[in-house]
Amino acid sequence: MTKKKATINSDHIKVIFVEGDADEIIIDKLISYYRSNGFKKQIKIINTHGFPDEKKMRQGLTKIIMCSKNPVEFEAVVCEYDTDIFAKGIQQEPNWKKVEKNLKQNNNVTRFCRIQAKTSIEDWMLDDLEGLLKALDLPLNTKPKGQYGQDKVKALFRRKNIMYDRHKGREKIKQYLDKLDIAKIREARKKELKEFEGVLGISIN
Amino acid sequence: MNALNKITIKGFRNIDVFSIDLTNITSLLAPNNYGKSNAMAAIKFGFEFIKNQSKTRLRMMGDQSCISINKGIAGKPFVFEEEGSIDNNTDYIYGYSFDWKRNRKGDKEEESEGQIVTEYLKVRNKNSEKPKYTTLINRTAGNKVKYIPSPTGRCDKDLPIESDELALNKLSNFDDLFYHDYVETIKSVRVRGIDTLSDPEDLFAPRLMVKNGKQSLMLGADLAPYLFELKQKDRNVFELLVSAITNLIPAIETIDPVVINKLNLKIDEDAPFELPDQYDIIVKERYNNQQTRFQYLSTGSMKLLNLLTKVVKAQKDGVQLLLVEELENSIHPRLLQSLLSIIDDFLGDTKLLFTSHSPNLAKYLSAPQLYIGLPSEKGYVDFRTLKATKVSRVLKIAAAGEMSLGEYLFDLMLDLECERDLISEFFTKN
Repeated sequence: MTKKKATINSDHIKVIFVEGDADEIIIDKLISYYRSNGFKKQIKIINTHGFPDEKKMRQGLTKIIMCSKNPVEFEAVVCEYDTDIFAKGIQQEPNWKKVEKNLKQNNNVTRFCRIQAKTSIEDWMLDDLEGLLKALDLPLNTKPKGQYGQDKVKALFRRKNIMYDRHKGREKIKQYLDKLDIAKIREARKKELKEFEGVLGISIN
Repeated sequence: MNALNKITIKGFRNIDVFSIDLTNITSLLAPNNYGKSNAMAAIKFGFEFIKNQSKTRLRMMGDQSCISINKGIAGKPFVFEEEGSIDNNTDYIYGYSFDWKRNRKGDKEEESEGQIVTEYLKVRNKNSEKPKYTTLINRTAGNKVKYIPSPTGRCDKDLPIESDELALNKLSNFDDLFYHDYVETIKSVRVRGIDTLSDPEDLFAPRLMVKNGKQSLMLGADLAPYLFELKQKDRNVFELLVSAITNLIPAIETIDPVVINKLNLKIDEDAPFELPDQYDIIVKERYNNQQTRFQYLSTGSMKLLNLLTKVVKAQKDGVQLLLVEELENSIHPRLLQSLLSIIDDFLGDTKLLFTSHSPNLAKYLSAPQLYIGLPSEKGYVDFRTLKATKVSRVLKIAAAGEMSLGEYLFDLMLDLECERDLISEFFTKN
């Protein structure tokens, strides 16, 4: 009996870059929801603590390669971000085609896609306003004050004397955001998640 | 609350012209020795001059630490102008100028007393169809001041005044003046600094203070008694403040300002003062088996508590403008985005102007929030912001270098010495 020749196994990795703690919590919940619906693949979430531009994504991918014992192939790289950053005039929207091309050419990325939270991940949270109000133990007829989703969520947390910190508030806000109905949010954001779910091969009716 | 929207200052130290439009949070970004501190000092000086008594004003007009010795500025008057809104309907422009005192020995021609030269107050109804400023006070030649005495009058009534007096202060005694409220509002504009540069031990060191005739020995300096009072009087804001601090420093579980007055010494009725109350700030950290004093925590923790407490206090006190030097001092770059966002939340109607050396702060700011220190061949303070028409182009250039606008401007600032043609191309004129 001849022995099979040993082959070098590559790690096939899927990565989602998110821009802050709140985004990380919601995307993590979303992945758990997919798992409860039969999705089995591993996905790594990397919080870039700020807009995940090409530079930050490259750095994140390089760290994974450096830490891995096997050669790495990035089966899918996903960039999640709030679209409001471009309206504020702090950062220009990258040329995404160029970003995709660069990542595929230089970083061994097979597929690239984006999740655009319009205008911010807090607008997604408000898709389950009832759940958020219940989590915060606020009356269900409470109308969130503010112009944008972020203002509204901040105002709701403020009513419970909690400083809502989307960038670095993981420990404080997780217990509340964990109570949101992610199926409801996913249903409301189907359009924004279509490409992402396609890349992951997720199909839920 | 009335709001401060713009400040212009001339003739102070190495400031020829310094003009700044204030957004909720505005920054002065520059390398060392570009005049950030001078700009902050000039703003404080300008507002203190309005508030002070004549005697102090006279002293201020001769303050050698403020008089310019720059070859191009020396001899020029101090000029101050503020623009703001008194309420939702009324905008104002108030300004004054004075000649600095000169006392060069052996040259009598050079000797002169400091004296106020010009002063004006203009207001407009911003909701009218054609908002146009009306001059209510006008001082054009030292002691000659004209003002409007009645709504139907013209700005032609004389107001006798001394050369160290401001008409604004004098008119505040005219209770029946139809714009008395405006005068009082402008007089009471509050500008306050937060010290982020001192050794944080000093922020918590015991200090003897007198309040309402009572002496208090304060542990935690003024922080502990203020937090104690805040907890008693506005628990919601206190809890929000604690929530903000514990977001930034997750190891902290609780923060308790306490009064510790256990001496219980007996004193005679004719004793000159009561026994001091002593305050402290007690903190519980997750991994410790007991509470401890806040001042035993890290430098950064102490500075964060000081900064955020003072921001809260400023907002509650109705301060219009907060001045902070080197906001990022002792604070980890990863916390700066959260810190800016938290400060913004606490500020309310109060505005913040801060200086910085940090690209890690600059990267979170938009064009109107960024005033960049530019190199000057004459040694002048020169802070300018991007031309509105150039913002999208600079954003594009920044994106090509994988930078935010603030990061790019910070980088550019360090190269402008060699690329001076970019100054006139990208930046506003002073």
